[in-house]
Amino acid sequence: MGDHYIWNGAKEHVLRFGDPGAPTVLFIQPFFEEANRMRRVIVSVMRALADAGYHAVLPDLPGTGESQTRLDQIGLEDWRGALRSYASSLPKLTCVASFRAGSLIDDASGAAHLWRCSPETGARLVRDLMRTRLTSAQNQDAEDTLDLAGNRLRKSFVDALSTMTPPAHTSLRTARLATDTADADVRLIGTPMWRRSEPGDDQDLVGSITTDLLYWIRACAKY
Amino acid sequence: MTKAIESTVREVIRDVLGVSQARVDGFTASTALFGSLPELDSMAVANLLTELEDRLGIIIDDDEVDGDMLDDFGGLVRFAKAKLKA
Repeated sequence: MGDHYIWNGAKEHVLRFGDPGAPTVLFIQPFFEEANRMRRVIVSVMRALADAGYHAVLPDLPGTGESQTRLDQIGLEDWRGALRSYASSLPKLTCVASFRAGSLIDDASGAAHLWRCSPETGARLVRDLMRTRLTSAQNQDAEDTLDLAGNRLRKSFVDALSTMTPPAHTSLRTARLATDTADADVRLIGTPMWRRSEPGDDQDLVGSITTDLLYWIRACAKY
Repeated sequence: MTKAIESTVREVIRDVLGVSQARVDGFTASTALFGSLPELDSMAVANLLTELEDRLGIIIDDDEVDGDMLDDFGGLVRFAKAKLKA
């Protein structure tokens, strides 16, 4: 189901499932190419949440998805501002579920409870993008932008990104894959679809994310 | 441990490139990778290295990335083993 919000005078698309009057879970996608790779997984989780009686929403960040804003004119403050503005329009916002680098900005939503899937630091995200240059011919960079894996980004944006870590929060649950060596509150089953060159489905990953996210939303509702 | 590292490298190739378990089980030390495996483009190389870091708990410097380590499956496994010893 499609909807939109307004940010900086532009219409940004929102994908929605479930009853708008129900407790709402706001999803934040990974950044850049990882968003495409995780799209199917995230949408499957959103449908499952709607089936469980929740309202699931996924806003396009300015410059991504169907946005008409140019990505090379975007800074982190635009994404934080857009998120803050859209989140404040949701009367029953209960929890924010963010994926990968999306966790870097989840606090901007102002949500009381956060859930993170394999949160990534900005430094690692930028390194991953830079690495695509190791084995590929490079496009010429403009003076104030960088071409990273097909994304034209402002240098100031990349610099800001590379210093960010997922912010601390009083009500936070972190989920990571069983194969990941980093710390987490819970281990997920499945493959890291955010690294998969060809986007696809992973029912194990969808199932384990849905189960843990529902557990966390219900636990938070008791506070 | 040696076998475990080799299995981890196989699993990473399977998960990142989306190749089947049967195909990746058939990889030998001389199975050619970069330049021969169509799934392994420059974006996939970046993902492969980062996923290896996550699963093995290692850090790979960009100047360690060269033709040798990506030439064939044996080279990649040798590289991972050397990183874990260091």
